[in-house]
Amino acid sequence: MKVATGRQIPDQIPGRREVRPYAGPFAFVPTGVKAAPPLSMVRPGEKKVVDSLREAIRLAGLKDGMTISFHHHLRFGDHVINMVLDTIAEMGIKDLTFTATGHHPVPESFIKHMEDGVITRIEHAVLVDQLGVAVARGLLKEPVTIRSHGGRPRAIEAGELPIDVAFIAAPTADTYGNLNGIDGPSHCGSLGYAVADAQYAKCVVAVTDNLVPYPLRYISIPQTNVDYVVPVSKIGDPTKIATGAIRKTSNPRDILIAQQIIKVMEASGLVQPRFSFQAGTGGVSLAVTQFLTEIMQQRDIRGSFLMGGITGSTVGLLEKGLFDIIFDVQSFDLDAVASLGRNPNHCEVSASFYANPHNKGCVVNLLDVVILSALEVDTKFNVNVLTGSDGVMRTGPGGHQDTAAGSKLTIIGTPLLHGRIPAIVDDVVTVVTPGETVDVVVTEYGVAVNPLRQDLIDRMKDARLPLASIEDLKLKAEKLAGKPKAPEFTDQIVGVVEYRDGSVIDVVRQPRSWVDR
Amino acid sequence: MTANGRGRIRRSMLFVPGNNPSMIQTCPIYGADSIILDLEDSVAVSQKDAARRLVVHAILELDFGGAEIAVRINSPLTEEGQKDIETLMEAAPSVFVVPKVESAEEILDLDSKLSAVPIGLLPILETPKGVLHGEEIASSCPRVWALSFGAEDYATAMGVERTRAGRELFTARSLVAMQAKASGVAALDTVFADVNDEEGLRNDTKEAISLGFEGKYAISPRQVGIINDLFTPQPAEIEKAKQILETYRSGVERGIGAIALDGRMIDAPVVQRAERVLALAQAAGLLGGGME
Amino acid sequence: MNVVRNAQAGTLESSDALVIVAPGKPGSGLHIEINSIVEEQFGDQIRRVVEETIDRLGIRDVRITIQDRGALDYCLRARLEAALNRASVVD
Repeated sequence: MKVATGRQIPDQIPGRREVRPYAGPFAFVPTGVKAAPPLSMVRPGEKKVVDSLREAIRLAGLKDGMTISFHHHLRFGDHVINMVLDTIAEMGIKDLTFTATGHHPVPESFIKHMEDGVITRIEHAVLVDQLGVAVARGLLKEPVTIRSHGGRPRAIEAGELPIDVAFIAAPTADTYGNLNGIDGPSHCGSLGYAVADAQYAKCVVAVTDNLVPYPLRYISIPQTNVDYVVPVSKIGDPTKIATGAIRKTSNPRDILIAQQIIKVMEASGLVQPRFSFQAGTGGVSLAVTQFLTEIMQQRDIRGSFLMGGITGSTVGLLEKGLFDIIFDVQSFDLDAVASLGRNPNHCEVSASFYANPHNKGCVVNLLDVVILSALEVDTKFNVNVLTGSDGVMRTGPGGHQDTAAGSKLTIIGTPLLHGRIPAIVDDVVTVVTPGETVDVVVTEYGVAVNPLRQDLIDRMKDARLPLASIEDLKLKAEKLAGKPKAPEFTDQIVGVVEYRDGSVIDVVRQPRSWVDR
Repeated sequence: MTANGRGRIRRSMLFVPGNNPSMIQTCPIYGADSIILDLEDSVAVSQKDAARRLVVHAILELDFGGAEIAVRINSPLTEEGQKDIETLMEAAPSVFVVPKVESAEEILDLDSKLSAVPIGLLPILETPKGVLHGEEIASSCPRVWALSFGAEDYATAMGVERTRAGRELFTARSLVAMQAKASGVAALDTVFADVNDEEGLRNDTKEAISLGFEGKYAISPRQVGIINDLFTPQPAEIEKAKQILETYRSGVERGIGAIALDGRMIDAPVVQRAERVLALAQAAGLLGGGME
Repeated sequence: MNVVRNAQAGTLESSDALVIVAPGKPGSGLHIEINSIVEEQFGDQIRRVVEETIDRLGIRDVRITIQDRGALDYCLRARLEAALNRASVVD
């Protein structure tokens, strides 16, 4: 069948009950009621602290075939995922479905657990390092489902992603299961991505290296959602969790792209009092944030809220009084962690609050401008933030689909080439974010506005921006780098890309070059 | 080509290390009027041969947009400089930037080597001797399109410290600008070495403009925009220049001998200045027309 | 051009390539080994550039190893020529 971007997807996909094709960013209207965790009871005098992970897993009732979930706030410093998987493997439990909220480390043992049949399905994870390759090799029986930051809590709340046991790495926990990420040696700031897992999982196990007496002063995930607390010596490597301040770029190309993005924002007329803004943590985004500070100070503009991956530079905007509020689903550096702990205008929010399209209103709907990056953009403005140009899944969609759909102005900032690989192409390998939600593509060789946005084109023309058609940019990229050989695929589907509303927007097939490797 | 290279707008001339492919292939995006692929100071002695091959292929195969392509060769008095000249002739860049020129003979010698190949020359005066011979160097041959000043080597040769204010350079800079003008070629100013000091770059560029320089070398892409902006005329100047040229043209059409605007005579130098203002405005994309 | 000794040119920086050449036995022909971060997408193209360059310079028996960091064609040609020049005596 055909999705609204024009792509063909199969009528049936292994392991998936229903294949509903993507029909437009807000075409699908949900019905029915939310899923719910089972009722439970804790009597007075009963304790939640459990001595060992093994014991907690036993008490949680984990069995073959169940689903376990993890969050990624400790990023590449996380020890909990592997600690839990190793213990489960030792206990001989098999055939589990794994789901995580985002990027996490993938050591050799992780792949071995897949080869040994401990993990046999992945329901959303970010396939970094060797994990993407393992999936490309066809190590899983069923395709991996890929969801956005808003799409994952939506799926949990809709009952499409039922979780049996959620393991929550907790930088600080009290003895009755209140958790936060702002205190403790492995502090990571916000725990926003773990909230839906904590609310909807049948059983919730917190793993902490900073167990404190009851009650905790700042609560991110409350005792009402947590069954067991397991103290361990170390939940992570702090040098890889929230690293020191993320440094601003000195790459002149990124600065040039950022300057053009600022011009696009100004020309759009959206940089006004009460303006709201989201940018990422890459070099271009950080430079945009810096230039935006200067402009808002010059023009004496005060914005309303900031969102997204929060860094010291975002915190700087709040502290200079240029914005009223930060909504923080994930803190990226120690400045952000510290600010969350002390500044009441720096608010920790859940992924559902941030980006879930099927609740009573998420924040992305109120966003004026978002700055996003891309691996590839095609001449229909469709964006790929998932597969490398060799067809292997290497990263994740994050909030890309969500913010693009919600914001008034979606700007993709990307160099024309990533190394030798063109970023502007005829057709992206995988459509993650549909072109109809993308407004402007800014490269160092010119600015392309989506023809659907004639209003923006008119504004950009008046602002002397170096406008180019997206086709021109594609040709320029090909002229510089040559045309890369398109990857070849087998018929086997290894990934299903959900749109944030639960429809299927594309599938990822197995790259032929990885068969039998 | 050799003749009209003199009138070309060169507000910013960006140096790009000749052995660095990443910088060479991204340099056209910064809006420099000229790009100087450097074989001299930014290339290690052991890599001169490799840099020559890279620069040749870059010129032959890459698209540098509207920018003028120049190559800074090693001094023609050195063996490396001779190899540069020999090798680069096949790629025929628009210009050779020639370092440490001290006499007209050096230029004439180079001119004869280039024979029919239409490559212009931009000598850099960066020694006391070179600065004092600016006029004979500039007027030695029609290939010399501009004179430029190089502060670092000059200061070393004089045995003086560089300061942020740059008083130690004042006389030499003035002399270079003056000798260029006396010989009817453009004057181009030295690089500003501290790439992180934007305010210093602004002040230094304003100083160069006040001394009569028409362009400035840039050592980092981040300097190009600032330099271009400062060399770009203000809207009022552009309007005035348009008026002058209009009045002048209609006066010539009607056969009027002495043309005046607002009580001021419009003579040849006034017309030339107005034409230059419009050329600069055109280079900055301020005269409408295409968006590119 | 006649390759008589081992030589190399280029770097392992991004957008560059390190090209290593070594003389081959008479009649051994052209041996190319490519190790590239974009091998899947541009491996054939890189090979073509090498073969064309070797052909143009009239070189027969040589071993060429390329460690490519995403170099564009112009750069590959330049690095190859520089390495071959360094490895050769001109006939």
